[in-house]
Amino acid sequence: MNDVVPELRRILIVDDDQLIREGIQNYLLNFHDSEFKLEVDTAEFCEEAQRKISSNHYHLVISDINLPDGDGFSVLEHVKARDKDSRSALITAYKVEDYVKNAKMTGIYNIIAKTAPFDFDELSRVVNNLLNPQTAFGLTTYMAPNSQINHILIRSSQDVDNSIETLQAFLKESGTAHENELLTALMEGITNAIYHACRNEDGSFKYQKGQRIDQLESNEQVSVYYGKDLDSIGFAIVDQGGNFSASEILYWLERNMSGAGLMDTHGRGVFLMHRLVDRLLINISPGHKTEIIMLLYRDENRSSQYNKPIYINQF
Amino acid sequence: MNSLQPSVLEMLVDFMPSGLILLEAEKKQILRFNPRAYEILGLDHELHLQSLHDHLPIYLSPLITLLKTEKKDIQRGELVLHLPSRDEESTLGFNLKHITEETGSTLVLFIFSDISKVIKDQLMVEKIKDELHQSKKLASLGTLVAGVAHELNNPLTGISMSLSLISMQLGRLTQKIQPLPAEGMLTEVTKSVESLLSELEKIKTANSKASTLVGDLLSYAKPTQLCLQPVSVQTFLTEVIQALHGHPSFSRMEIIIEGHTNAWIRCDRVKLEQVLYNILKNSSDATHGTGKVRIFYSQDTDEAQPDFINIHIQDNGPGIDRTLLNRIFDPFFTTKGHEGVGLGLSISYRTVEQHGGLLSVESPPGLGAEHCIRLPIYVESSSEATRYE
Repeated sequence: MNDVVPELRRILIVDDDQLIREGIQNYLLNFHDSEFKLEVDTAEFCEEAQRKISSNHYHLVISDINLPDGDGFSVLEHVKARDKDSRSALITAYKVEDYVKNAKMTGIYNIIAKTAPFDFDELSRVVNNLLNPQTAFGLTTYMAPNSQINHILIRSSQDVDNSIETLQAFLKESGTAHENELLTALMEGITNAIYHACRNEDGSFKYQKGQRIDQLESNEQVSVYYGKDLDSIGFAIVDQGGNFSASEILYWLERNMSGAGLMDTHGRGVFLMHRLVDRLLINISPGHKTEIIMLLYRDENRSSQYNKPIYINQF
Repeated sequence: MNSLQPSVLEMLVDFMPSGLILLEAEKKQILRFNPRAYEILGLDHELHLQSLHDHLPIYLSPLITLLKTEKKDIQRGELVLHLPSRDEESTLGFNLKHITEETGSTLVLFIFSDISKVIKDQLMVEKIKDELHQSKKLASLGTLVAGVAHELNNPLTGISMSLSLISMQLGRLTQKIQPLPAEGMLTEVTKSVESLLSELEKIKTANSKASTLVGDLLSYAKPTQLCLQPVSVQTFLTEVIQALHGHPSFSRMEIIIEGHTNAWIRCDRVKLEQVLYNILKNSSDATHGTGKVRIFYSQDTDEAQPDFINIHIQDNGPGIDRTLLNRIFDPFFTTKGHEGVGLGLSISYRTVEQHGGLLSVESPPGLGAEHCIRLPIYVESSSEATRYE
């Protein structure tokens, strides 16, 4: 397989800060591990970016929001207008309210956080996931190689009850903060995966919340993965429906942020997760599966209370 | 005056809105004790008073002492009494005059009224003014701080990127030169690279520190929205203290919680926990980690605002200097020298404010610091809320 020539992918970085745009370019060209051969251009101004986009095809454009001669959204709109398969991400100071607002407005679900220490591993992951969404799936991708990942297969309500005990014991043993709330969030994630993912042919929910289920069909079963390595603790909840859409997630996030969703019995889970974990990734393969990945870091630099990114990969 | 009938004077004395006591100075004989005086002092109207030497209730002793003074000049002043009919101390405003009669005997005229409410209102007005001033000051600081912090974030991120890239490049360089045979050269180069890397680490640490500060500033200036959940005050406090107990700053602290009301609040637990942490961390620092903290909570006694709960956090440290009290919530105000940047309490103030409450601090002389977190009580459908316990 070694003699296969990797496909070319072109990336444009737009930021008025030289250190940042050239830093990313340097990293992607020299240190980033990719299945593709990368070509990375940079632009300092909107006008310059738009000129480059007009004359070149870019697979991915990463742009700052505030540029000296305009805003980054116009750049990203320009890319989409030229090629709807182009992917885009923002690089900006991260704030969840802004994330939701921007995502709803522009459909950009990936934000690279401007923060120090800058997390190049995270940048690598975002770039890889954007260039090939397939790589976004699977908890193992986010944990150290050879970490032990445990799997619980949920086939019935009884399995849900059992999984609570298993996860509780795991959380206790791992010594995480906010153990009870984390467990609540995980439980909401699991029940949502069952009651949301299983639909009748007309799209209505097959099971009602609270209803005991003796046996899920094999294509309705939900998988929970959990594991830890030296730096992190990770969870993944995977359903086989893929019925959760990015806009639905944003709806619930916004509703809960505003406080309106206080008494909502579902949807709150996503927001709780976001508050409690350091990284929240939602991978959606429509009609096939939805995967919610939660990562908690032990390293203080990566578990900043000000930087808890959400990434949604939908393809 | 002499045109007035004595009976009219009598009536004036009986109906005046102030209390009046007239004494014969030498024998302390009571000549007049008008109805209003009985009323204000909480005495039974049936009680027939002859002289100050009568068995007047003990709580009036400050008044008796005052009336017995020999000072002849007019006095005005305030007298604080603890009347049994009231929970709080009462303040009397008075005029005191010694009148020498033609016969040579001296009379003491004491006219007074209860000014407790006026004083309380005044204090309240001052407190509100202070709070308003405080929040205005913080709001304008917030705008400035947010701008500066945002601008600083870009270069800090860029510097961090460059530092990481240099480290990575140096790492690669070391790997490349490892297989080279020139021994002496190799050790020298390796040593240089190692020292460069250790210098880089220092800059990285400083860079991260600056970035954390920027994060603190942004969170102070533009706090993120709250994720509100109902929780009983008792449960919340107990869980927070349990969680903090494992923390090195608190492992040797004695923290007790007292309170009986079963009130619920709606709060962002992560953020409110941070508030408690910040306050308790100060208590721990003030007592070298070995102090005692009493946390007690109760529903507000003010009838006008029954829907609030006050959580008091009282430590046995040296307290806070009176002159520093009104600066304690200012950003960058710290008494910890290089140990702190002085944002903990400012952020806490903001957080409690976001919850619709108020964070305040008192430090009675000779006692420790006492913080009070005042929060609205959550009343709607507590049964619904129980589900999230």
